[in-house]
Amino acid sequence: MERSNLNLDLIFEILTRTSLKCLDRCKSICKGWKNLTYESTFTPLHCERTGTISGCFVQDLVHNKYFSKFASMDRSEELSQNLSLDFLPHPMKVEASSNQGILCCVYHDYRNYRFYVCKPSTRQWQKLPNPKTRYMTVQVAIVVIRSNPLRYKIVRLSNPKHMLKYYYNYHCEIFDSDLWTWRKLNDVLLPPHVIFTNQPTIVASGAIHWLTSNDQVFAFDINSETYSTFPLPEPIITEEDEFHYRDKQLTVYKGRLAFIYREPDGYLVLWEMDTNRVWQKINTLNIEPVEKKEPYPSYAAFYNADIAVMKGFRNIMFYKFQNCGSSDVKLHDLKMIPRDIFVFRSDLEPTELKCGS
Amino acid sequence: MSSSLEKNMLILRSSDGEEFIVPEVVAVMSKAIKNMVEDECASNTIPVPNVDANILAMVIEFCKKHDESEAEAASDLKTFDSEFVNRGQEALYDLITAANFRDVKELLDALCQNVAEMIKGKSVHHIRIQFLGYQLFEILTSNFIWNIWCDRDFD
Repeated sequence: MERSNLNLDLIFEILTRTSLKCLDRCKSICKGWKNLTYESTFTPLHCERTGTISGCFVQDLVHNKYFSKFASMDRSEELSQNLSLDFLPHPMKVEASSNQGILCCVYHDYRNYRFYVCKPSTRQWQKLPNPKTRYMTVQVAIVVIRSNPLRYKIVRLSNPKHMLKYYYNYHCEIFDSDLWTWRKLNDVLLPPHVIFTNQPTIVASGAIHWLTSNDQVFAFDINSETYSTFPLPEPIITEEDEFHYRDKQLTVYKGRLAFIYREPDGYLVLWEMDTNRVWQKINTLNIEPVEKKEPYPSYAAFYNADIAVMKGFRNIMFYKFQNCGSSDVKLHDLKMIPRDIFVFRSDLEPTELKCGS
Repeated sequence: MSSSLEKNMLILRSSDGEEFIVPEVVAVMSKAIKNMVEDECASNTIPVPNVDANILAMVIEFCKKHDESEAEAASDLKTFDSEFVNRGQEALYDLITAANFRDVKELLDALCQNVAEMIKGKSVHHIRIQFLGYQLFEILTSNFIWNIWCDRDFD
């Protein structure tokens, strides 16, 4: 019976050598395996052994043009500088990123715009058909559903020409790379005066999540293509003073949907959605070490289970918060304002962005 | 017996009592044995518990080859490695455990790389059967809900 019972140290050794595609599958083997992949030593070792790129694209808008830079803490500086979006035919705005190295970008040209997908690590890009561009884009998300052959879906919400009387409605279109066309779904209906907050798209547990202005989470299921809403944790929705909790933001922590905000005393509080779809408070982050380096940092994303990406004024910081006592902040001077941050990881294998063409 | 041995030879005794005579340079590729030799806490016969004769023979074969071919072309070593690790699952796991236990870095690297290649492109179900074997039922029941809500596999 002792057959095939490798201990977790050995599984760790094996998993740090698997490709990115395979790793995602291995995460759903069992909890033990999944937790291994979120250990702080895992990502650097995995990147080194498999050549995986892990980091984030930082985007800024200057003179009405978007541009982005890549920042990482695992690979050499040289590689980070090579990874850019300059291979695209035009300067583009990154709209959404997937966890598998595929970005969804939009090229604005006065009144027209065009959707593209690209894989920066292999410098591949592909023009997409356009959705109904006469409506203003509100939210865009890209999700990779299958890696070999590649299949992804892009979801776009846009403002309608005329609002309904008792609801705020948004047009919802979905692009499936297998069908290579946009489909219009039923309008998304939100209660009156409720809008989507200007915050990053969170993909977790097979759904796309956006935070709405009434402290609800809007969840769009990728497979069934339906949506639902559910509230944020109790203390947040019952708090009368809307400025009591600041910087409310959805995020993803250890592969699960999470929620983070700043307490009045400056600490960041992290909640996680557990397996029974209940919010659980799991951690409190002291960001004092970051504030020593940069006066007003704001939380951007989790890089892995114990490193958070924080935005500064003209830089971003990788903050290792589970490093009891000693502060460990790696400041990445960008010489640009980190307007949007897209967490990015990718392998170096070329892929077919348009299958069956 | 030890008196007839040359100075730089060591005897390794497997868990089932078989003895192997190997040059010291080969034996110390295992960090665990190296530490024992350096601390001089070992007589000429070093017991290697938890590793049976079959597996120990394989490990020694691997170490010998790596020791000899240090000067040889790296590509030769690569082909040897890939042939060496190309074994049945049972032997492979025993080898990995032995390599880990005796701390033979090169062997562990080669083996883990091989297993990583093996699980490439396999479904979650396959990997579970392969690695978790008899624990399958337990896993299926305890993680059922978890699988539905977290990290759903789209394949």
